[in-house]
This record gives sequence, C-alpha cells and structure tokens, in this order.
Amino acid sequence: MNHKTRTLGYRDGGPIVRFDKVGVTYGSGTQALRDVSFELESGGFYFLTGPSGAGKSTLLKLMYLALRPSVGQANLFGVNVGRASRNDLPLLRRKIGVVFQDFRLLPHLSVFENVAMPFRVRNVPLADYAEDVDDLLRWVGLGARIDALPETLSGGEQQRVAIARAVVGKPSLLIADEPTGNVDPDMGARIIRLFIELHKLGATVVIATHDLDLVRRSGAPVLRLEAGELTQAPNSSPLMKANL
Amino acid sequence: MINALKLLWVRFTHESQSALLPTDSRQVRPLTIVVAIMCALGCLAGLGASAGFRAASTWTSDLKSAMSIIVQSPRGDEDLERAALIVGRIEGVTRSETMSRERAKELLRNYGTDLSTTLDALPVPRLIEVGVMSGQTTVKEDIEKELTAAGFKIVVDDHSRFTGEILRTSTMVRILAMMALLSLVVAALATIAFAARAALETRREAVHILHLVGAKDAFVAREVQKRFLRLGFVAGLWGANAAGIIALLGLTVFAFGASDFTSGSPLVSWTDLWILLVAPFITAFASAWAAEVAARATLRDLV
Ligand SMILES: Nc1ncnc2c1ncn2[C@@H]1O[C@H](COP(=O)(O)OP(=O)(O)O)[C@@H](O)[C@H]1O
Ligand SMILES: [Mg+2]
Repeated sequence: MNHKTRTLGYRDGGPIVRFDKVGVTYGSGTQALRDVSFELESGGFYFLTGPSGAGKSTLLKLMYLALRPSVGQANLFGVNVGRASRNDLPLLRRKIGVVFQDFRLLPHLSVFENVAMPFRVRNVPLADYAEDVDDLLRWVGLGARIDALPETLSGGEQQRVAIARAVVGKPSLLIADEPTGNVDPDMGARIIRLFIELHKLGATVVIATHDLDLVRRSGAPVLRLEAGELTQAPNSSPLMKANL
Repeated sequence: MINALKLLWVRFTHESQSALLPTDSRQVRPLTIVVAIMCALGCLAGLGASAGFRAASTWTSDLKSAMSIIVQSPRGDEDLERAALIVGRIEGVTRSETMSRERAKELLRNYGTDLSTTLDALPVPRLIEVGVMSGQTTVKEDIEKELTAAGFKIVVDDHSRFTGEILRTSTMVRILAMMALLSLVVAALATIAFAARAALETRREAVHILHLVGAKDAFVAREVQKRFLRLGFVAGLWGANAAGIIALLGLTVFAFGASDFTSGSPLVSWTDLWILLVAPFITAFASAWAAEVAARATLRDLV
C-alpha cells in the first residue's frame, strides 16, 4: 500500500479529493473503474471527460458518496470514505453540492422546497434560509416559478432548480454530472458561468461533460476516462488553476 | 416520549411545510382503518376487563358481607334465638337474625320446583342470617367456635364456593382481555412497522436524494415517525369513538335486559372514560415508536 495515502485527517490546503488505485465493480460484474489514482487541489476547477460508458458518473458517485470503492482508497476532505462510518457520511455530504445528470428533484415539492432541501435536512429554521433561496432562484431566472411543481417546468428550468439546490448551501466541493447535456448552448454557457462564480467564492468544482469545445476554451485541467481507466490526470501542481 | 409530545405539539399547532417524503393516500387510508379497528378492539378489551373486574368485586363483596348459619341441632325456636344472640356479639358481625320457617319455605319455593305439596312434609332448615363487616376474615371461625362451645351443631355457609367461582371467572376474563389487548398491540405494532418499511421502500429514490443532500438516518426516520404519529392519532380517535359508541349501545341493551343480579353493578362507569381518552395518544405514540424503529432498521438495509 502506498504510504502517502494514509488518512491523517483533513489538512487545510491539501488535496480535497485523493484517489489511490481505486476500482469499482458493480454487482452485475461490470468493472466500471480500474486502478484510478489522482488528486484534486482545494479551490480548483476541473473537467471530467470521456466517451459515454467510460465511467464518469461512477467516478463522480464515489466523490459525492453514493458509492464506495470496491478496491483502493478514496479520500474526501482527508477522510477515507471506505472506512467512514454511516454517521460520518451526512456530515461529509453537507460539504458537497451535486447536480445530478437526471436532476433528481422531488416531484411533490415546489421549486422553493426542492432548493431548500439541504437546509431542511439540517433542521435549519425556515426564517434563516428563505431569503437566500428566494434570491438564488431569482438569480437563476426562476423568481416567478417559486411555487411551481417540477413537472410543470421545462427541462432547462428543472436543471436550474437542480443547480440552485446544489449551490445553495455554499458547498466546498461542487460536482456536476453533464449539467449542459440537455440544454441549448446558450443555457449551457450561462450554467458554466454560474459555476465559475461559485469557484471564485472558493469552491472546488468538478464538471463531467462531453463538450470538448467548452473544455478547450476554458483551459481548465482535465481528467479523461476511457473504458474505466484514467488516461489523463490533472497536473498536481498547486498553481495549476483554470485560466478562466 | 417527550420528543413525541413535542412533535405532536408542532404537528398540530404550526402550519407545517410539505412532507419531504411524498404521502400516498392509497396507503394511508386502509392503514388508518386497520389501526382504528385495532384501537377500537383494544378499547373494548380494556372496557371489558374493567367492567368484569368491577362486576366481580361488587358481587363478591355483596356475597362476602353476608353468611348463613344452618343450625342442625338443637332446632327449637328459643335455641335459635339464643344462637342468634351469641352470633350477634361476635366482632365484625353487623346483623344476626333468625329466619322464620315461613321465609325459609319461601326461599325453597324460589328455587323453582313446585314443592308446595311436599314442602310441609320436609324438615325446613333452621337458618340464621348474618351480616358481616367488610374486611373481617375471622368471623366464620369465631361463629363456629362460639356456637360449638354453646352446644350447637351448625354449618356456616360463607358463600366462599360462589365468591371463589366468581373470582376465578373474573380473573379468567381479565387474563383473556389482557391477552387480547396484548395480541392487538403486537399486531398493531407489527402492522405499523411493516407499513413504515414499505413506505420507505416505495420512496427509495426520495430517501436516496435526502441522504445525498446530507440527511442523517435519524432525520429520515423522524419524517416517517411524524407521519405515523399523525396516522396513529387519527386512527386512535376513530377507534376510541367507535369503541365508545359500541359500549353505549351495549349499555342500552343491557339496561333493558337488566336483572336483579346485575342492577347493583353498572357495566360501564364514567371512570372507564379515561380508557377512551388516552387511547388515541397511546395509539399515536405506539405507532410513532414502531415506525421509527422500523424506519431505522430499513434505512440500514437500504443503503
Ligand atoms: N448501477 C450500475 N450497475 C451496473 N452497471 C453499471 C451501473 N452504473 C453504471 N454501470 C456500468 O458501468 C460503466 C460506466 O458507467 P458510467 O459511470 O455511467 O459511465 P459514463 O457516465 O461515463 O457514461 C458502464 O458500462 C455502465 O453500463
Ligand atoms: Mg454518466
């Protein structure tokens, strides 16, 4: 075992994500990831690319703690997630905002309530977050749809609700799985601008995308997956920040 | 308990936000009906046990407060008066009267058989009726001792045959009622636990989303608990009301068919009302508790 991967608790300024020889094999026997090792610096802005089925979503699931590695070690905020207790997971997840590929809004809750979800599960009183949620929804252009149910929204609007929910708690780590996959280029650009704003506030951002054009233009460091293997990893130099 | 009370308070005083886990009236309604029926049956079992206990204690205390002495010899009227006097002086005796031959015959006639022709030929028992203060346990022995010492040959009937029978029967009834209550409670808890598990399993996706945005198991379990606290309370109200109505109907029927034997002991008393009053709360807490335990176990299995 690599001595560098021992977990000694989170140190400020260290890598926010560190994978060491991580492999994932699904119950069906599919080996989705193989021998993946990399580090993400705190405060960085990263793209994750690769063809469909390469394992991008699987890698992100490990990062947002929906999955534990089958082999190897994944560290988030200095915590070995394979060993983290069931009670520790919620506390780690609260530092992470996720935009799921399929949005995952709760269909019986209004736009406001969907976005407020991260506060409610933390038992934060309504008065303490109502204004933040309102402001954020206005900012993503949904000020008039606050009480609407998700099914009455267009795909792009639903996506913006999902994004608002991911960023509303000001997460340290923002993970987005193909957030521009289902929207027109214009909306895609606006969404990326939102992530850049968040990045400027100090969040580490990881975006999985097919849009190689967008990746090239941004000049941000890239992780590339092909058939479950990492074929390109970001340079781990701390100065390697996006040219945004 | 305190936590559940607080929840109940919040639930019914504040206009709450939409539940984080979606509700499904197709699940709630039949479950409410089942729990309400169980609660009603539980209330009736409780009322039955209470009524049985009250009736038995009234009957036994009636029986215990009286004894009969059958004087076998000597059987003369004066002897009988003397015996009654002796008995009247014994501590704990409130009343001691000889029974006239006419009354004794009357008593025999009451047994139903047409004895009128043969009765005069029969040797009528010579009886002394004795009233006893409640709580006096040595009266029977004292009577036997005193009268034997005075040269009487007697048999004291303290009705223990009947009181024993009544006590045995009422204990039996109470045990049965308690067992019925217990099995109802177990069945209700199992039903709730099963429903709570099903509720989480059918909302697996919503639970997963809540987890991913940082919800602890305890939080999700509390969401489930809140729902079942409410369901239990509503079902408990229906159940207790139904049991109350059934008990009232039963009382009415009983009042019309009342006999001398039952008139002294009302089947349901006002003090039984507390059973109906606490039932909704007990049902609500039991339901919330079972749901919470089941939810925590289910959450451990789910992810
Ligand atoms: N839950 C799952 N169970 C079994 N196989 C899965 C599961 N999720 C993904 N896979 C498989 O793992 C591989 C990687 O999938 P995924 O991570 O979704 O790739 P990408 O997001 O790059 O398209 C694919 O072959 C896919 O079929
Ligand atoms: Mg994917």
